[in-house]
Amino acid sequence: MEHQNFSYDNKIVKYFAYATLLWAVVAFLVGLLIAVQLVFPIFNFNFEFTTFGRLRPLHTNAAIFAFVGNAIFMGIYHSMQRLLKTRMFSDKLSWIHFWGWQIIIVAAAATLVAGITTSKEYAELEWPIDIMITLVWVVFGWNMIGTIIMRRVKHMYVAIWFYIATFVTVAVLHVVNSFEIPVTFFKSYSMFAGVQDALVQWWYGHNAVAFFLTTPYLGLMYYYLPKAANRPVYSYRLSMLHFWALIFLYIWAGPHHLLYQSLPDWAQTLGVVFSVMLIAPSWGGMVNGLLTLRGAWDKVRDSALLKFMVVAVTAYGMSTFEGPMLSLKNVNAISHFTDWTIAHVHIGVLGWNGFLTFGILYWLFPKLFNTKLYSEKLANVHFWLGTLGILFYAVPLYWSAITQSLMWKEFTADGYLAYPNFLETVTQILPMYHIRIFAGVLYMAGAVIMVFNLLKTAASGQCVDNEEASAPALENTAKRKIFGETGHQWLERKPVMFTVLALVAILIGGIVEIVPMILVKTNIPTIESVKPYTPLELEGRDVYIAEGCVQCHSQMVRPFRSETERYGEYSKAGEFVYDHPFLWGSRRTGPDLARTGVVTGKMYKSDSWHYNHMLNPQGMNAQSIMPPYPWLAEKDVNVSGTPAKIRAMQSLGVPYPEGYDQQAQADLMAQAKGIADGLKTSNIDVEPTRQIVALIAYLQRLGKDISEHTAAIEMKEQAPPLTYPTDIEVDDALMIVAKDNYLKNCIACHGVNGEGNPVGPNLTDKYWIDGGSPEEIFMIIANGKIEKGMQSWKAQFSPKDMFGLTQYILSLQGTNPANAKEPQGELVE
Amino acid sequence: MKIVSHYLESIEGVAIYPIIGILIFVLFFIVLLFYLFYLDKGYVKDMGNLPLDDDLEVNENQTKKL
Repeated sequence: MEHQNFSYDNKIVKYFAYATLLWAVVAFLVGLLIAVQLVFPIFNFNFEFTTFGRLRPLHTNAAIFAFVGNAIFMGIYHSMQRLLKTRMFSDKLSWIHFWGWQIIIVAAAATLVAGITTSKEYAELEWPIDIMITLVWVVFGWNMIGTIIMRRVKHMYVAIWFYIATFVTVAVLHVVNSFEIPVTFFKSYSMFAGVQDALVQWWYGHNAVAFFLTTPYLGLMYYYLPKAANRPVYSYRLSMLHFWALIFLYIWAGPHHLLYQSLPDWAQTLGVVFSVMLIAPSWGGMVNGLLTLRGAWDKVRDSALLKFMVVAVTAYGMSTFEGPMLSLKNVNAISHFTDWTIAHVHIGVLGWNGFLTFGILYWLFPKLFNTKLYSEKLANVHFWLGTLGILFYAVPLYWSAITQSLMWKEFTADGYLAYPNFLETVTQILPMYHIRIFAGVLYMAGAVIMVFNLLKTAASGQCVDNEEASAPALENTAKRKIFGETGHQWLERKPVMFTVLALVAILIGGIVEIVPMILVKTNIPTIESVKPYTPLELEGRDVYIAEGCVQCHSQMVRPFRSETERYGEYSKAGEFVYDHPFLWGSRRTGPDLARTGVVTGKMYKSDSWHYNHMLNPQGMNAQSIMPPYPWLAEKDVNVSGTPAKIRAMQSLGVPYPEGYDQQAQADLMAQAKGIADGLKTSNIDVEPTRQIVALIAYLQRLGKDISEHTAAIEMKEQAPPLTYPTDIEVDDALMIVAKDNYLKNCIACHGVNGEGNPVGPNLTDKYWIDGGSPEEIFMIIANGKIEKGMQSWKAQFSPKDMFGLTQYILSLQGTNPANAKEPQGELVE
Repeated sequence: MKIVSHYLESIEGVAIYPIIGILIFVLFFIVLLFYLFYLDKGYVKDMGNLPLDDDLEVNENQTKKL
């Protein structure tokens, strides 16, 4: 048999390894910063490019695509050459891949902080970058398949199968989820709307986790764990089962991100069933990994890199158990929109991806540079810092998730929300956020120590960029099945066929999910009162997207009493038919906004409240953790771009009248002027063209259409008119409850001591705008004064509570608090 | 969650999609189990050793490395 000489390309591996180190530090650093921002809003720096809303996607993208992405390519380029005993197919393609990927990362970082985003989670990048990703991904796949075809080994090891599945699936996911209509170079609208957009996005989002964070890492596990332990994988059969079952099942589970949301029943059930089934292959893989170390556990005690790998595989097992549990509807009802999801993904990324990467790096650097690790002791320090970091991250967040969820859902004996003020539930969990910062510091410190250790290692050795190797040439392989060869063995000789079959396996799940989804379009009951956004509201929606409001605010009221009591009517699929893209959100760091525009609703706030709150949230609620957005009152909406946006919407099927793009600017200005004039009556002077005006218009639209739809129905069953109760005694108990209610609900506009603020009048002087008699005060509390921003409270409070509040407010008369607002209204003696 | 949605009830026989899906998976899974069960032992052992081979092969022909 002929022996062929060739060389392994170590230089590309080295470059991907350095990129991994660099982006790891960046991703962890940004993560630490946003963790600090959630406790101390001052660290948003009052600067538009550094708000939480823009930095959080930067953090997730850096962690997933920059850190984990480069680590995947490092591992694939290193292990594939050796498993196939050949050099990569083309050096040129390798370097185009490397530099292309780094350019994409830098472009992503630059656009995300600039507020250029599609707002879809883990797919935030705008269309020019989407195209770049597609091209670089094709280069990667071409290089990989080419290498496989050039191989000197007959059969493909299971790690390679995982790499192939990663390539094909990510390609399909990325392309389908990026269907969008470009409006300008930096702006596009998703082709899908509302429910469809949500379903496609989470089909993508879930499988981005599956096929970017899981399958390539399983490939790496199946190569590097045997290497590090110097023994073959426990059961190769089990690894084959793991592969096929996993890629077949994973693709189905996406809808579990949308449980109890406006999604068809059968899709939700499908997501739950397949998620639970996923436990089996995932745990098979975990057991396979851990048992590979059978008889080698003594090595684990001495080797930091094996410790990293053991914790990584354990974290994989924990995540893949927790994931299906979170997909159960009754668990999801509690966990969704809370920090539980955040804790869950961090077990995955910090534990599974992070620790496996660290283990591989500690193994690879000495090999690559023909030397010994600079310090085993420092690697052990890193291991313990990292492990403590994960624990201090996850445990407090589980605690905060359960605490907050139970507070959201708690009712008093009288049937009212126990914590009607959302902010209270945030303040309660802030101590946990302090601990999370500490956890981030630990994990970060470990990573910095690793970088130091590895760079020292590299400096002490020399990397052979082209490592000489030789192997017997592969005999001419028969095209047909050789006698005695099984089907799968034949398949493993046919990489292209294998790729196609892997594609078929993942497409079955995708098609079953997506075909009915397309049918949904004709089956969503249209709600007559739901109309397209006005041009100003559309511009406001784009401001909302650019500022990343969706990072903290959901727009999805689930059909639970605790949510309809707090926010208003639950969300219906028909409401979202013009939402390109959907903005349901996934975490409620702030309250849901789906019903902010319902004038008679509980979430309603006046234009002036929104204005003041956006400029200085802490001025309205001292404990708020929302960053201020002063630039919204200084920057203008680009009105000249509005007609193009209207045309893009029309091409997506939003029924604006023909030629409306010509009318759009005039309509926009008229509506903006109306809002600006309204703000003037509250002594706020703002140009109508400012972004804040558009944003207010959008917020005041949310839920408005559906409320008009139901108002007619409710008219029929109106409650008897409310009157001032005369049979309630004023005692200490009543006043204590009243004071508590006041502090929880009224201080945002009237101040802690009733002194008033830019929105609400002073309650302690003798001047009253709407009369100062007990009856008049009672009726104002009950019915509100919508046009001035005072909401109606009769839905939240019993008549007794409102009677108590009236007495409490009267008791504030003449207390002369500090910072009292000047008198408004008429003198009442 | 009956109040959430009934949209797809109007599509005739929509339940067939998930049923077909699960059936395909179960069949596939059973075939896979049989296949793995009857897989040649020597082959499986060779495949499992693939990651460990590579250095040996290279080192045999490389004088500068041990």
